[in-house]
Parts: sequence; C-alpha cells; structure tokens
Amino acid sequence: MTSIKMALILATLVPAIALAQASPGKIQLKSVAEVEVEVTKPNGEVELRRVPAEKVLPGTDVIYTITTTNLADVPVGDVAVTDPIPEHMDYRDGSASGAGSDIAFSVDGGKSWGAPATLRVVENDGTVRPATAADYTHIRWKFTQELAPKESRSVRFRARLQ
Amino acid sequence: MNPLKRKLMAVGLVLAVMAGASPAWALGTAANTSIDNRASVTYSVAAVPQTLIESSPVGNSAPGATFGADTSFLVDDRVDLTVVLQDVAHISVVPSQVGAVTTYRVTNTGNATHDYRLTATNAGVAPFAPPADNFDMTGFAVFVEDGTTAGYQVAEDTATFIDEMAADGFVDVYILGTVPGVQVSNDVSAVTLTAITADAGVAGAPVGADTTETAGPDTAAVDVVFGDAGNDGTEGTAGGYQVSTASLTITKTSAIITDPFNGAGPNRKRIPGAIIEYTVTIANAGPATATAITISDDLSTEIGLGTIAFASGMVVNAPNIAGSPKALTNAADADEGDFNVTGVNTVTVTGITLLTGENATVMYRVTITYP
Repeated sequence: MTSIKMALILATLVPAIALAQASPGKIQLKSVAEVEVEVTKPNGEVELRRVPAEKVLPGTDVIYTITTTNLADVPVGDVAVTDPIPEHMDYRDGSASGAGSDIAFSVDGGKSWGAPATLRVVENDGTVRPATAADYTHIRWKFTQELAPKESRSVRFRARLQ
Repeated sequence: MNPLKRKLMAVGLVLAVMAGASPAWALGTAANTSIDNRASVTYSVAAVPQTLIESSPVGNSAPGATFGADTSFLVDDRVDLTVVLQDVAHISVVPSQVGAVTTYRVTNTGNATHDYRLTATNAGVAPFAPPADNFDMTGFAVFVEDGTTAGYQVAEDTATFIDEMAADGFVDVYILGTVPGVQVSNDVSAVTLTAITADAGVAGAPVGADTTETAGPDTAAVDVVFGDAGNDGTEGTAGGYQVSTASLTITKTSAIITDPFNGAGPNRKRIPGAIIEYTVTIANAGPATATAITISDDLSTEIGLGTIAFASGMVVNAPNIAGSPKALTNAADADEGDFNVTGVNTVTVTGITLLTGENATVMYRVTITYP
C-alpha cells in the first residue's frame, strides 16, 4: 500500500482531526512557567535568574509568560488571552502585566470579569466581601490594538504555590 | 473564589480549630502534585471571530479546545515538622517511679507523608522554671498514641515510631522514664523528645531511613528540601519531671506505766516487772501524701535475750483510720495491726495515710522480764 493511499484512509477514518491539523490557526499561543533562582555571578553579585519551572516547593512564586504570535499575513483583532489560575496556586496581587492590554479578573470561573476593586465574593453564608487576589480564578488580557502580521506580544503574571 | 478553594478554606478552618493551641499549619500543596496550566486566546480576522486556540509549552497554533497542552510542573517535598510539649507544668514524680510520662505532639507541617523516628534524651534546660534541671532520668522509652484512648495506655500505645503520617497530620508521643531512687522533693529533670523525619514506605513496615535533603541542583525526581527550623528535618522540644515526695520522720519514745513496787505512782522505775509503753510517731513534712505506710518494730532481739515480753495489743492513732485511737489485736485479723504474725516477734501496723503536716502514732506495751 502506498503512503498516499494510507493517508487517504486515515483522512477518511478521522476526518475531524485530519482537517484540524491541516488548517493551523492564525495565532500561536505559548505558555511558559518559570521560577526565579538566585545565581551568584563571578564578581560575587547575586542576581535573580529565571529558569523553567519543573519542580517547585510550596510557597514559591511561579511566573507564567504567555506569548501570542500572529502567524498570518494579515492583522488579527479582538485578541483576548485567558488563563486560569492553576489549582493549588494563588495569584500574586498586582503581578499581571501586559503592554497594550486591558487586564481583567474573574472570581467565578470566567463567567464575569472586572477590575480588582469591583470584584465581590459571596460567602457560603450569603455575606458579600471584596475579593482578594487569592479568590481570582482567571485572568484575561484584551489587546487594545490589532496584532500585526508576525508580531508577538507577551503577557505575564505571578502565582504562588500553596 | 472557586468552589474548590472555598472548600479547602473551610477544611482549613475546621482543622485549625481542632489543632487548638498549636497553630503550626502546613503551607503546602502535596508533594508530587502536577500543577497544570493552559491559557487560551480568542481573536478575530477581518472582524470575523475565529476558533479559540489553546497554549502549549512550546507554542500551539492549532485551533480548537483539544490541541493545546498543559504547561506543568511538579511539587517538591518540603520537609517540615513541629514538636510541641503538651504538658502545662512539670510532671510530678516520686523517687523510684517507673514509666513516668511526659507528652509531646508531633505535627507534619510539610507537604508529603513521612515516617518519624523518635528519641528521648536528657536535656539541660527545663521547660518550666524554677527550679532548674538537676538530675537525669533513666530507662527511657518512647511510645506513640494509637488513637484508641487519649493519654498513654500501656496496652494500646506500643508503636515506637510514627508510621506514615500524612501532611498536616499530628500525633501525641509519650516519653516514659524512671526516676532514680535517690532524688528528693523539688529535684527537676528536663528531657527532650526528638523527631527525625524518615522516608515513608508501607504502613506497618519498620521505620524508613532518615530522609536526606536532595544535594545539588534540581533532579528529575521529586526533590527533598528541609524547610524546618535548622533545615535538618529534625525537631525536638523539652519536657520536665519534678520530684514531689513525702518526707517522713519516725521517732520512738518510751514511758514507764507501772512497776511492781510503786504501781503507777510518781516514783515508778524501769525495774523488772515494770510495764513500759513505746510510742512510735510518724510525721509527714510533705509535700506529697504518703499512703500505705507500714510501721514495723522488730523486738526479736530483746525478746530472744529474755529482757522483755510483749504485752497484748497495740493502739493506732492515725487521721485516716476510723475510730482512732483504735485498739488493735495481736491476731492476723481484719484490723490494721498484728504481733508475731507478719514478722517474728515484730509489731506490724499497716494502712496509714498521711497528708502533708499530719502524723500518726502506734503505741504498744512491753514488760521488763526478771532475769
């Protein structure tokens, strides 16, 4: 059997996957988790260096960097990057950054969004209190401008492992 | 707040209340947990919304909710523990006491299950002062509460190390020690319970090897970091014993009751045929109560030499004996005294209890025999 025939059969058997893989989107999204380690330079100075987070101790901050790249030859608009705060992690207040984007937070799993000062949490007993950073479930960055062809833009936040 | 976080906080509150006075609280996601994260992006091209794209660690551009990959890391093992004395004062002991118990609570404040090896040693500084430590206990043993009955139970609490204690778990541990017989009231001995973090294994297996910190850079396996005070996976704290015993003084006096010539008159003499009354007095200067006091007076030498003869009966006067002063018979009967029964030619009076400051007397009479 030739490889062309094999490919045809596979395409027939699993058309959805084959189609999806055949048509990449216009955007690439990359998420990297890093931790800061103290590195002593030859001159004795200590500097913080970011290394990939592979294993992390409780109480350590992890820095997530999400990079959006426009692969297309045309600008893309209405770009909104959403990232859930991982389970077992607490968002570090004030750490979300992203040039040229409006940052909003959710405390209800992404159903509603707002600036930190506007968010409220309803407790089990019905009382309402202002949300704290530990209550955030999701962060969203809305890019205020189109992403030009081949342009990359990174957004970032820190979360602490519980 | 998502439901999971709220639930975790609620559990934390309950456990914090249970832990009561020991607020040491583990801050830690369980070791070896995979922390996963996946971002997503929505966008439009020429104002037409496009299919969502998920992130991957290396970058993903395939649209749809199934083509991204988690950006993940594992949680390392942060070893941390506390040992807290549960006694609120020195444990009161008496000389020669065996199995005197001090109580400690060992809490796993790290984020992984561990065994804990336990040792008891004499310490130099007592937890409560004054007085200061001035003697060493002997014959140490360490046992772990099994949860059946609170407090040390000889039949139940038989484990000598802490087996497979999960993160946030705690258990009470008992040091048992022996008080040397030479100690006196207010002597103090400080002892230390030390818990050494050991590797977890299988429940019921012998204690694991002492846990070691992962040396050098991050390894592929879950690393161990000592996060406890001193960064050695070992914590200890001191408890103390204080001797509080009875201080008994015994005196014996004699008085002449009658002689054959002067009777009970003022000129009666200690001559053959005279009746002499002995009074044995026991006084307790405290600070502890003395119980089960037995007074013995062995008259066999004098009786053997033929110098005295025992007159019948004795009288006991003790605060705890009803009917005092109470006449006792020579016989082995229900009363507290006998003569020539418990010991040959010996006066024996039992069952006396003396609180601090109390005293008791036993009186009995002999006759000076004719040579």
